[in-house]
Amino acid sequence: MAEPLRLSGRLDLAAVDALHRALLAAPPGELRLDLSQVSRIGALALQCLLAAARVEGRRLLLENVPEAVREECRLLGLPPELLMEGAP
Amino acid sequence: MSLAVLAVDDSRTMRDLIRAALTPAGFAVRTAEDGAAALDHLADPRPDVVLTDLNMPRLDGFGLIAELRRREALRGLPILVLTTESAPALKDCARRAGATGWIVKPFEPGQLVAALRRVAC
Repeated sequence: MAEPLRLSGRLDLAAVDALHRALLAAPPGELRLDLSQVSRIGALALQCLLAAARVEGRRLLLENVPEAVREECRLLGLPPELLMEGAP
Repeated sequence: MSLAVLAVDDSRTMRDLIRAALTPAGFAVRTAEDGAAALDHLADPRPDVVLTDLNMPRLDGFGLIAELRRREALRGLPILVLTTESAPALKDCARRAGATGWIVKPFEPGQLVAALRRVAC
C-alpha cells in the first residue's frame, strides 16, 4: 500500500494553492491523506479535497483526522465520511 | 449549444476548480479574478450566467451585481453567488442587489451544474 500524503498546519487560503498542486500531482487510484498534523481546514481546502475525491476512478481515504478538523468539516457541510464516499 | 459561464473569484485555485467541475458538463467557462475584471468580460460573447464570489479586491460581488443590474441590457442576466458565507442577512443583501441564487462553498460539482442549468435555461 502506498504511503499516505501527509498534510500539516492550517489548510487555509495561504495553503490552498500548494494543496491543490499536490492533489493534482497524485497518481490515480487510491489517495491516502494523513491529516494528523492538520490544525485547521477552510472551505477552499475542503473544496480541493472534494474535487480530488470526485475524480473518476479515485478513492480518497482520510486518515487520522483530528476532532477539531472533523468538526470544521461538519460545520462546512462535508463530514469526512461524506467526502470519502466518492462520486455521487 | 453549451452555456457560457463567467466565473468570478479571486482565488486561482477556485477558478480552476470551477472550470474543472463545469467543463466536462459542457459549459464554456471564462474566468475573472474580481468584479472589476469581470466587467471587461461581459461582451464578445455575453455570458449566459455569471457565477460570482462575494469577497474580492477592487470590486466585490455585491458591487458587481449592482453594476450588472444598472446596465439595461444585462438586467435579465442570471447571477449566482458562490461563497463561503451563509448568513441570511448577506443572502438578503445579495437578493436585493439582484442576485438570482446562492450556493455555499464547498460545492458538489453536480449541485453546481444543476443550479446553473436551472437559472440559465
